[in-house]
Amino acid sequence: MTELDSFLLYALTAVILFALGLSSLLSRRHLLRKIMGLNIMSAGAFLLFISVAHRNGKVFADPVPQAMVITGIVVSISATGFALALARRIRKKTGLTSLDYREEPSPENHNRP
Amino acid sequence: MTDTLFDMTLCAALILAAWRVLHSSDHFQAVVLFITFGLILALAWVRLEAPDIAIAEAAVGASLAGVMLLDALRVMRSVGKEHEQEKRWTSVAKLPSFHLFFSFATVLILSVVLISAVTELSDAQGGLTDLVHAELEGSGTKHPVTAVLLNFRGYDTWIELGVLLLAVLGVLSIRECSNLHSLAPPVATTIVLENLVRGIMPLVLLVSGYLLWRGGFAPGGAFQAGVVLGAGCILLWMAGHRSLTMLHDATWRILLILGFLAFLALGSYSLLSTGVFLAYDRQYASIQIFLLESAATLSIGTTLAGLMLALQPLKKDLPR
Amino acid sequence: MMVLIVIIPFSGALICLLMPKRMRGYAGLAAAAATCLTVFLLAFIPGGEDTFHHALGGWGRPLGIELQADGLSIIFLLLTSVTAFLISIYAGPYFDSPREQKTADYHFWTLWLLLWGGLNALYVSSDIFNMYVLLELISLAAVALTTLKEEAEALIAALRYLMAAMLGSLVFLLGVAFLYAEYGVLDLGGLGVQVQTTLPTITAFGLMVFGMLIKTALFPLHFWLPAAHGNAPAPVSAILSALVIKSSYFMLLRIWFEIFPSITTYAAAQLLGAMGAFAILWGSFQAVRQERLKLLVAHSTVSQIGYLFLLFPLTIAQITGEQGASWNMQAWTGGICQTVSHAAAKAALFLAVGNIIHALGTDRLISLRDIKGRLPLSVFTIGIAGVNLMGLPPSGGFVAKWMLLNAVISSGQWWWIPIIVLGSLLTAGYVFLMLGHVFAPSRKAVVLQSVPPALEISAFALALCAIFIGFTTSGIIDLLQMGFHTMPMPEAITWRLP
Repeated sequence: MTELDSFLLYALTAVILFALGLSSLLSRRHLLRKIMGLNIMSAGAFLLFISVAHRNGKVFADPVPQAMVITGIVVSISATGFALALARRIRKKTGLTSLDYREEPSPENHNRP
Repeated sequence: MTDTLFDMTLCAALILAAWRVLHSSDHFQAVVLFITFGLILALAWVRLEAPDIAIAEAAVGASLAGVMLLDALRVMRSVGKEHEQEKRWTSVAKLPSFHLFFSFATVLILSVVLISAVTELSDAQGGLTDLVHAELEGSGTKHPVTAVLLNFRGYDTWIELGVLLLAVLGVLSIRECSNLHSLAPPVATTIVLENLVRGIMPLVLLVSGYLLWRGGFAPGGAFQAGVVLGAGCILLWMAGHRSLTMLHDATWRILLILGFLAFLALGSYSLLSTGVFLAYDRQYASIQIFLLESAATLSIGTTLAGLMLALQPLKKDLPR
Repeated sequence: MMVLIVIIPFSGALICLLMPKRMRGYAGLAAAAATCLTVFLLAFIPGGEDTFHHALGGWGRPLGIELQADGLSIIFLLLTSVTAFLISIYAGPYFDSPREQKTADYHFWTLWLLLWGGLNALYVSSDIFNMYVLLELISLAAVALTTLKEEAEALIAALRYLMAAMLGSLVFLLGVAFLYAEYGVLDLGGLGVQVQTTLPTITAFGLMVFGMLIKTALFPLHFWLPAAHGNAPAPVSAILSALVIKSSYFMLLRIWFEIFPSITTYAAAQLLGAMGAFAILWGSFQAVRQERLKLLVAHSTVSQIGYLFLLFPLTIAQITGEQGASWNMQAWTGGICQTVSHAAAKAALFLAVGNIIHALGTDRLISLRDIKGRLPLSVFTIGIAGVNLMGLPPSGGFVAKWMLLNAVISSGQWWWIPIIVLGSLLTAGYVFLMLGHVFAPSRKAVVLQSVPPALEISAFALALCAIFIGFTTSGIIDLLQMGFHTMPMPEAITWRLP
């Protein structure tokens, strides 16, 4: 019984984390919050996988979800690193810290190739 | 009973940390809480019998991501910087309230659906554990996670090394440099940090090698070893050492692709000899796996360090 | 051997990374030609029992990952190879020309070959986690390619694209988690037979479909597409609109027809069709309003994607068990013809537009009048591509819309008819807008930059391919008849021509 309860506890935490990460991605303007939100979402998805692995385990915990999560962590850090590099470049080039912007109409813009 | 109490505290801490990352007003506070979140998550992995992932999470999810975020925050916060173009971009002050309402509603509905779905999940059936258990003998390694990663589902690992490679190439193209030699020399730092790193580096290398070797029979393996190695290279840079920029350009490129290339080479060799891609020789499987893991460790370490180092100031950006 | 279609582009990518800059173009082109050739060999040379099936590492499912190619895979592989090869021919001279030097070319070939390898691997994969990793590979490569133009708009669009792509992948991954929790397997065949209507399964279905909808930029989730496709260098725009979008659409087809056929409902199919309808109308409406050429073409992509989603409501009868419904095959042929011809036509359009922008030096629609009769091949290419998008005979687009209309009428879902007709009218609107500006008089004497012939010829060749598709319909039907027989399917899905 406790086995199932522990699974349920972690699985529920996982989906709550996913939802929290999603709300950060959607409702916060600042790029770093969005990126952190994406990371928390992936943490939620991974937590669901590993709680399933724990539930499935007999002699040892189910290694396939664990392998999947290790792959997922690597993929996630690659995307995060790239996203941060992009965010920094955008900041340096335009001064923006979010993707919502308004372009100032200026006389040079109309004739600019 | 104490187990359940511990679990509940852990989960509550996770949710609280995530909530504060979302809602705290100060960005620095949010990043620090994010690092804390990663560390608590590593504890959760240990609790759920996933020590391999705990090591990876603590090294990558908490530390590496945290360091990258802190550095990015420094850039985001810098005021009065000269921007390359004339200022013709203005931020929109607030998100329209329609947008906020819509996202709130979506998240609420999604949470309800997900929570109900989780409570109705069917009971345990063992998943693929039995199959792994059955085939573990001949797989060339005694640790089930390594067996899955390197043998049964090695194709995924190969692709994932490709994803890593892509990320570092992408970062390099954004930075408009083709290799690390365009970086400005590292900033000299305090004597405390210098000597600390001087003492720690041999330990880092030792731990990395140990994790790599250990992955053959216990939690550990190429990824864990690679991230420790990468963290060591970054630490070197922060202590004022030239770190990876010491390497010749060609050497660095070869190190970057070594893991991906090793899988490709072994896979093609087995394709030619047995007609199956990425199949291991029954006899030599453990040696082949160890070779692949070593190549992967070097690649992962170089790539992750590269992700961080490529973001450091370039020679051409320094004020004269 | 099927694995070669993945090995060759990946090897090419590594070689390009290690080579000096001057040699990269040649190495890349050689790898492109080799990949295209391998796909053709795979598709057309009859092989043994094992040609279309490969257990990687010797481990069969569900423990290991298996590669399986069925009719749908072959179609997408062929479409990708031809388009990718022609775009590769375009890309070499494009990045070498002096005007484009400000576009960084640091790693175009490596990124592009990795992307192509990922696409090929996706089309033959049969494991949902493998597909997740491949989707991430494809997205990351696509975003990296988008950033090659170092302008601020391109970077902002790229970051938005990256975040949208990651969102889609993560939602998909959560769906994979639910499926594994319920059924304990990851392969398409195993899931297809075990899937039942329980809440977690329906949740997984919804999550996976939603993830793919974001990646395919279906209205209203298309917010990231116009800026990303419109601000990339010309060959990259072609790659994104023609090939990358199709990969997530392919995933959607797999999800809908392989994993979850027993739980898709009429209502869900109609919902997808309705979103497609909105996409068709909204996309073309926005396209007509654009002032920049590339943004016009990008909005046209949003619109054309909508046609692809009419496939779902029109094939629902096949899933709900009405055997032998003749409109199934019409709907499938129409949908696949639309996919293939749109890929060729959109690539041709982006490449030809790229030529014109290269020559004129500006992206503005009004400046088209300064061409004054020069660059005839590129303008002709735009015309042919436009004919295809509008659905006029004798193009592949015409066959596609004709088949779709037939399916609509036979199945009695007459409400799609005004959408298809209106869509064609609006498409004609922006195509004639472009061509109208080309033929309008202008008093300015603008000196045109010379466009290397390879650029014009490859764009024209792609446009011709789009026309050619119209004549290969029976070939497409044959390939579709190969069906999904290599994967065990529930009894309800069998193909019969009337």
